[in-house]
Amino acid sequence: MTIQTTLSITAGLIGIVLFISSFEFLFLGSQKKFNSVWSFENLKSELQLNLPLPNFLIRILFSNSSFNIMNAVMLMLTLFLLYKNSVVTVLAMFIMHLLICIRFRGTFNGGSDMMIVVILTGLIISLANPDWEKAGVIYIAIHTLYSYFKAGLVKLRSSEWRNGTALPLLLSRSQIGFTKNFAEYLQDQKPIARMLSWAVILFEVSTVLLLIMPQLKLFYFCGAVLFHFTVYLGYGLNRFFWVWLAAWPATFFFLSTLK
Amino acid sequence: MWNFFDRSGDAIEIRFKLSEYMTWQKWSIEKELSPVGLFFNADLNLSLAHYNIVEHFITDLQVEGVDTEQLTSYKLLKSFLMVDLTERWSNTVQFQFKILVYKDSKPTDLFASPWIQVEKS
Repeated sequence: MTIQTTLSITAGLIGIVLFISSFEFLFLGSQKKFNSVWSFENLKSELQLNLPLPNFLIRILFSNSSFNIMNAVMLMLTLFLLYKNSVVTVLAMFIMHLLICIRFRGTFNGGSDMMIVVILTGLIISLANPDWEKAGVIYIAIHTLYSYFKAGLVKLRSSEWRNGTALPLLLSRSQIGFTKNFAEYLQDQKPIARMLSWAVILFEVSTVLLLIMPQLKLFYFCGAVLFHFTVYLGYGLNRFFWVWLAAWPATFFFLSTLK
Repeated sequence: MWNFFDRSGDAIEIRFKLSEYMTWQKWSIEKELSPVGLFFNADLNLSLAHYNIVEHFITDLQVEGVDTEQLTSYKLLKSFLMVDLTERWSNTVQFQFKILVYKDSKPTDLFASPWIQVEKS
């Protein structure tokens, strides 16, 4: 896979992620459960205290109507990105994504919002200067491998993960009915819970092995797709699935250079 | 960064009542995974974000001497419960909520709100 192909696929996939999230936000923007909760009235004291911007600008940037406009523009930018990779487009998406994250006091969708920042940053580096193309791709790849490793390492250090009690407890907090039922099943079937916990730990921690055995990248990629799809089934985290998929072309390219 | 599902932590529960004569009711939500959920999952993502508000609020409560009602996370949580409870029970005029934390299966009251009057829009 050439660097150009890598960048095109990465841009296309991050475009899909941001298209999905903007479309969802536009849909939610008309719902009371959304706009009366994250209303400017509720957010303004914190925004005015923490942002180094004049109050009138904060009011403009974080009003409900600005939020809808931002998502409509983001939707159009994702379509443009599918047509042409441009650093200006990616930079605009990056700024809008950051403003959306600030509105949600960090992130709306947890780690997937963080990974969007990583991928957009990598793309900005790669597209800003032809000499930096590889640097941006390596930046995404290192973050991707580290994300699995770090998450696995923390689980490995946790006795609750090692003895299999954490997994059913975490699954029981899902809002999806069958996940709660599965959590109850795992609470009764401790050996299965322990086995599944160790499967997750080993998969995540062992991703660093790819640095010395890059030929295993296809195997790990399939494992990652299965892992993220399972997380989607368990918690409904659709953006999580797509954004980590978007990080894999860069990871593939980086690992290919290690041969 | 990159800590996913690593801490099982303590289980959190929200309880509410709509009148002084009512006993505390458990607030819960259950969603179905839609067949197109991989491509469009707005409703479930919103529910997850609502749950994050509760976690943010609990974190904010740990700060000593904090004025709870001035916390942004409290305002968000209050607004969310107000919308949710009035959607479920349209004649709701006031409510009170509390947050319980389960440590080793034993519930402990972490926070109880004052009575909140519903703002009719």
